[in-house]
Amino acid sequence: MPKRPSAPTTAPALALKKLSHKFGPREVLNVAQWQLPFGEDGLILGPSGGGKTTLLHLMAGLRDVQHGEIWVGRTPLHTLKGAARDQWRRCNLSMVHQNLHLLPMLTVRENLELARNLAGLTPDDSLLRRVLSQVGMHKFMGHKPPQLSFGEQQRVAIARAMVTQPKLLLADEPTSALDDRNTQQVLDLLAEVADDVTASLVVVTHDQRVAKYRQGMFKQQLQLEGND
Amino acid sequence: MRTLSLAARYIVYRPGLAFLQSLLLAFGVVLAVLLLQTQHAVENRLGRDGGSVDLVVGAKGSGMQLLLSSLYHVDAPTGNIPFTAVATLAQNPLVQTTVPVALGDSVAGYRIVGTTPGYLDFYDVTTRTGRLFAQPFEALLGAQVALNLGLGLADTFVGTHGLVAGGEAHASHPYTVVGILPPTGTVIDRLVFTPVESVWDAHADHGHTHAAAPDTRAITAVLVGYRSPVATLRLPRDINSQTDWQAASPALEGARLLSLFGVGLSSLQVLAGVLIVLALVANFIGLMTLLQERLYDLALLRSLGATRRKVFGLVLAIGALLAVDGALMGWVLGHGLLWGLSHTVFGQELGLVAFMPLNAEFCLILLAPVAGMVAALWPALRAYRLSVADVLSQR
Repeated sequence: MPKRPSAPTTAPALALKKLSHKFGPREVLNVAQWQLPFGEDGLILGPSGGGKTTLLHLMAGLRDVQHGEIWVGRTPLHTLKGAARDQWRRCNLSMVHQNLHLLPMLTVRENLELARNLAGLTPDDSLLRRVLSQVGMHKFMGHKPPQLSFGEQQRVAIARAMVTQPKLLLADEPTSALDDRNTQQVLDLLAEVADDVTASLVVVTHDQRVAKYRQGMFKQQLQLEGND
Repeated sequence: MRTLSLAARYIVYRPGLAFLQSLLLAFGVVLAVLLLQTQHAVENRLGRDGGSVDLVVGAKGSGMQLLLSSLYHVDAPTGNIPFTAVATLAQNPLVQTTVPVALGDSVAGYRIVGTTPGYLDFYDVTTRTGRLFAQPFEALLGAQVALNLGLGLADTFVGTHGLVAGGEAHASHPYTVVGILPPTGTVIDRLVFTPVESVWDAHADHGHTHAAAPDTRAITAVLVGYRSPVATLRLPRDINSQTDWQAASPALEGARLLSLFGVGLSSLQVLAGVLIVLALVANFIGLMTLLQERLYDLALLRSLGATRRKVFGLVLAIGALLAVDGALMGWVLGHGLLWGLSHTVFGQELGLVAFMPLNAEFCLILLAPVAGMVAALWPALRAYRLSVADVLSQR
């Protein structure tokens, strides 16, 4: 597995400082400090209701930060609002959602093209083919998501996250619906594509198998506690 | 992928739903197209059927009825006036042309018009085959009469009393066809022309008093052509106030007729308007449903980098495309129906043309996307305000 180059900076790829979040009076998230250095993959583990999804959305710039700081490289994400945050997300981030959610009316190729288009990138057919080939889905370019199995859709979703060549790749419960063998394969694939586009990978999951299967992969782990 | 293209994919993805959403608007547009075309055809038809006749002079009564009977040939005459009216009117310095019209008989429902060849000058038409009528019981047939009755030159036929089919036949006075007119798309296609004397002679045997002696001979009306525009104001007023006759102007009465016709059309126009508004409401409901169904898609698009304006535009574009879809479907359906109607007797009489769109129809189609976007405005605003994290968290 190729090793990702170190960033030409001392700033970590991702840093959380005194981060907390409340829904009404209930605090759902509280992280004192956590850092993910460049070139490493991070794992955020926690039970249901442990604030994983909230943290994921905060790191993705989909929610306003209430308290604390989130730094992505040298960008203070917690200070960005509205259109500026949308712009940052478009240029720096990709997500693999738990429900995959490819657009069902578009083909595999069109789903990938749309992702590049929304990220403000020009079409790149050779990259698209290479990425699909890498996830083993190059023969399904003309298929629509409902024609694919869950596993195949997951591969396409990973490919979609790759084509925008993000700096940060967030994966939300990527293995929750998979058996052991497929869990291993998906984690391998995520690590491989993150390496390929030199992105920092952060997997957010409640699945304890992830830590077990990828011994040594996730040097930086954050364990969230349930607040229920 | 452009917003419009993505919107189109959303519509194509659920074609049945999109079809149903567009159908109501299509019905409204069908009705609008039919109304516009019918109104246009009626206006055209009245204009064409009036030819260049400036004034119709006949017996006292309804001016509208006088026009309908003696110019448009669809109503019963108001009565008779003396034949001497022709000469009297011809002496008026404001009058250029006078043409008598004597009605009373018909053949298979087509009116036999006793007149002079000057009648045809009002329509700027001459014979296609044969010659003009000259002697009593010589007949010049309109194109539709000749075609439908299968009559040709030198053929004979007998007229029946009255202006509708089924009257008593004038068997002792057969007509001989001496000429046939070309199709004109006007009322004269459905008329049979003959000298006035034919009508008088046919009714001499019939026992009608109006054909008894030269000085008591009667006609139904006189068609008048003005010598100068001054006549427009003066002549009808002079005739109506100074004689026992009545003068009716095709320009004035025609406008009145159209306004009466318009009253009937306006209720249908209201119906078309209601249908179109209902369609836009349906469009709004459909978009709200779509929004609810595809909320996660929109959240996903936003998480992929789509701006708020992009998803706002996407919902507007879906609304606009659905409306254009409905409008085009209605327009095609409407003209299809017109094509069918143009092959019926009603359509032919009215002169309906299937594939000649009017400017108002183009306006209707151009306005459709705007109306669709108005209907989509609220759903689009909801999409704009979407909380991506909340929607993604719900799954």
